Amino acid sequence: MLRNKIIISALAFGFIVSFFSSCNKDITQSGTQYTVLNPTKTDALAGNWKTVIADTAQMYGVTAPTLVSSLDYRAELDAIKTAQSNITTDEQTAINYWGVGNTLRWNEIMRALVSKYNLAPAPNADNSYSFPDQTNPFAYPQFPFCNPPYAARSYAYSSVVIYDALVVCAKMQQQFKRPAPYANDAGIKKLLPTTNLPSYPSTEAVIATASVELMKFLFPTEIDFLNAKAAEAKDVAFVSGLATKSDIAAAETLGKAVAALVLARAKTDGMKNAIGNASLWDSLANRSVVRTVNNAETTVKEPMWLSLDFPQRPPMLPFFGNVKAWSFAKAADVRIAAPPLASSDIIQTQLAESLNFSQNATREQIAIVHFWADGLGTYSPPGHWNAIAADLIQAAQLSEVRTARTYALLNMAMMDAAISCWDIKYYFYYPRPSALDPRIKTLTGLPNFPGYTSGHSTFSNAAATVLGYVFPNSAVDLKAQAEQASTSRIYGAIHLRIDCEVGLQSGAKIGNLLVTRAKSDGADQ
Amino acid sequence: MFKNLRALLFFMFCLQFANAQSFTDGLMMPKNMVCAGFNFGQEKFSSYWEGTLLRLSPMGNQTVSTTNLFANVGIKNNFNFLVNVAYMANSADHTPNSGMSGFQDITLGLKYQLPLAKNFNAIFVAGGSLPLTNYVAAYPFAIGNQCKTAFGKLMLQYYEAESGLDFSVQSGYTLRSNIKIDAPDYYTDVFVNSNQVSVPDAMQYQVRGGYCTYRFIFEVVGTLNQTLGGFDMRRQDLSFPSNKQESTRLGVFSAYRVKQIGNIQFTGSVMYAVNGRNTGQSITYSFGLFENFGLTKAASQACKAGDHKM
Repeated sequence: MLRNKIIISALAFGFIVSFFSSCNKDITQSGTQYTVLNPTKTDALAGNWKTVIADTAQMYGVTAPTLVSSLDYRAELDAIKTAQSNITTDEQTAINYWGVGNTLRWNEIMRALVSKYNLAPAPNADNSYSFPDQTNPFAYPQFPFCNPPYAARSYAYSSVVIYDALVVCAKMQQQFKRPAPYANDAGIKKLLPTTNLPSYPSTEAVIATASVELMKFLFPTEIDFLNAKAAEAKDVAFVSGLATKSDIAAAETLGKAVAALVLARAKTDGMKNAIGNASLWDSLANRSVVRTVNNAETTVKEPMWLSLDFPQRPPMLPFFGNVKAWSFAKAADVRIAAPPLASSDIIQTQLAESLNFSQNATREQIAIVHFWADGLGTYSPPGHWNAIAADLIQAAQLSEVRTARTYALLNMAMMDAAISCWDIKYYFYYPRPSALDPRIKTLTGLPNFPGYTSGHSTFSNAAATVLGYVFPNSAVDLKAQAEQASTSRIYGAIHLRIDCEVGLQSGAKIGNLLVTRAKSDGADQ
Repeated sequence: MFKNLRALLFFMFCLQFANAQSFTDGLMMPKNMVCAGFNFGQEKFSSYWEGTLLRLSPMGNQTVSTTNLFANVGIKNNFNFLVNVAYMANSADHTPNSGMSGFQDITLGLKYQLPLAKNFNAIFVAGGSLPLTNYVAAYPFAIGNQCKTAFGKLMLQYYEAESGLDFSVQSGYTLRSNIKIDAPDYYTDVFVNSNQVSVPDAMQYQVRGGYCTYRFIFEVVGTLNQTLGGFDMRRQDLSFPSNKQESTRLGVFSAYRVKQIGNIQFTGSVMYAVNGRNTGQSITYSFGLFENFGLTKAASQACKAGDHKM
């Protein structure tokens, strides 16, 4: 009797445990559903498009390929056939992964790195903070702290380098006209969709090389990881019959040369001086500022932004506004009007609105706050727009070079948005709602920089403007998303309404500067 | 009659509102008897383990308040039904971020006592929990993690009704479902491009012992809660639903029934986290009020939970 009871109990217990253990813990990630790229347009003449930095008249060390009839080249084709006869499971997985689009995948890798490095340094024992050091990147705090301006700049350079390298690559492909391996030898299997474009230098390898060279500079602790990714991407191009070893070698030469040009700009763009020092921070905090009073701008003493981090943290990148932009000469040229006094009726009304959201936001509004927060440990607001772009690019099956152009335009716009927004933030040094009224508690993390204007609003409308030009059928939806991202900051009591409204205007203005560039770069003619 | 009515009101009050003292104790309600009441607890900490590093919280003192409404119904003398509803509030005194509060989860369970030998029982508990509301799951002041859970516990209990000597050991396994968060991506020890989070399962261990009678209980309690997997918070990172978590707590539990006011049971406990991982170095105080009442007149007269004869 007792034995039966024990057996029944054990069986019941075991049944419950096994039933629930069988529950699947797998999760579905965005990007895994993407289909292999079979571009709707090959953009064979992309060599005529306007580059950002590189010069399509230059050869960048690339020399003419050997003839396809040469013994050396025949041996290269044979090497592909040998590799194809013995494809491992890992290689097949890599083919499926990179086949979705090399530019798209490198952008995903960037988003993952931004997410990994998007953590602020912890305070020291004496309540001071140390800053990441690019010359000693492995020491804590690890380099970089990939905050939104750093992220915006990283996405911009890593996109521009691919775009420029691909435009020059396209020019060379048409110049040398060496057919792709599969077009030279019927014995070579086409393991991925083909474009019938010439393959010298290799499109895939130039993307990998240019990306890695740039990303090593941005994320110096990730060199091994990046090299492994690049080796995999190049192996996929080789084994799937898209490129021979010499196609890849030429691409490496070209990718490195174009990356050197872009890196030269990155190293001298003013980022190094964006942090400042204690005396500069003090002079920012202790000054008179410009405000709009009775429709006229005037210099006054006003409540100033202060850090609400505990312990108080130096302001985030207060001199990022001085970084060299892509679409304007200096940030002061695109600076917007001064905000009203904190004591003005409009600000007092908006503070009441902020307090109300702080205390009474609905669950739906809080979900919007968190959907767009893109705070610490995420790919940041610019990353969110890169993710939105990825879905559009994949759906439209854009060619590699057109994908690169889209990302370059998008991310130059968002870097410029960051430069302008940070200039405005530190020029006006406007406090956050929770500093003006301590009853206002935020529904997501409070950023450690001034409120006017909203970074999310500026990034989002710059992004929606550029993407709306590239994908006109989605323009309305993109604008609605930008407005929701902007409003999320009002719901979250992070920003006053005026920060967001003016941020949207500023974002549209910067987005349009890049649209003007896009209209004349030759890609849409 | 008056007593039953009062108890019923008490029970209904309980049901409006959620932890689970009696999911982890060795007490059984006799057939047709109900024990119902509430428990209010406050967990406070100003330091926490960030991974294995004990550090001061940049948010100052953090407080987690939990109100549990609980009932244990005797279906048979050795077979009980348990229900618990939790209301939680979470805040800190040194942060610009808003705290959060609301109804959290409902927990249901079945408890079965199997006598093994004189004074020696095995107790099985099986149950599960569901979120009661669509509360925010990933936020430093989230009141819960939105997991649906299923759990099983096995307790071995030694209890001398004559002397009141009481000692038990138990272990439980909690299966936790995946959840969806509001954000489209997050970073654990890898980047995850999804709003779905795989939350690790968890195990609980408990040792408790002391003196236990109908009138008075005093026990020393030691617990270890740990997740089976999960990731450590990085330096200066925020907590996340799929963190690796461990918490070893030591404390005391006591209860007393006041004869003069209808044998209402007052309970109190203090638990201190002596070690942890991605959890607070917290001290938790709680007190509760519980009442036993019968669903039938006969049961009411027989009411003596804790020292009833099988």
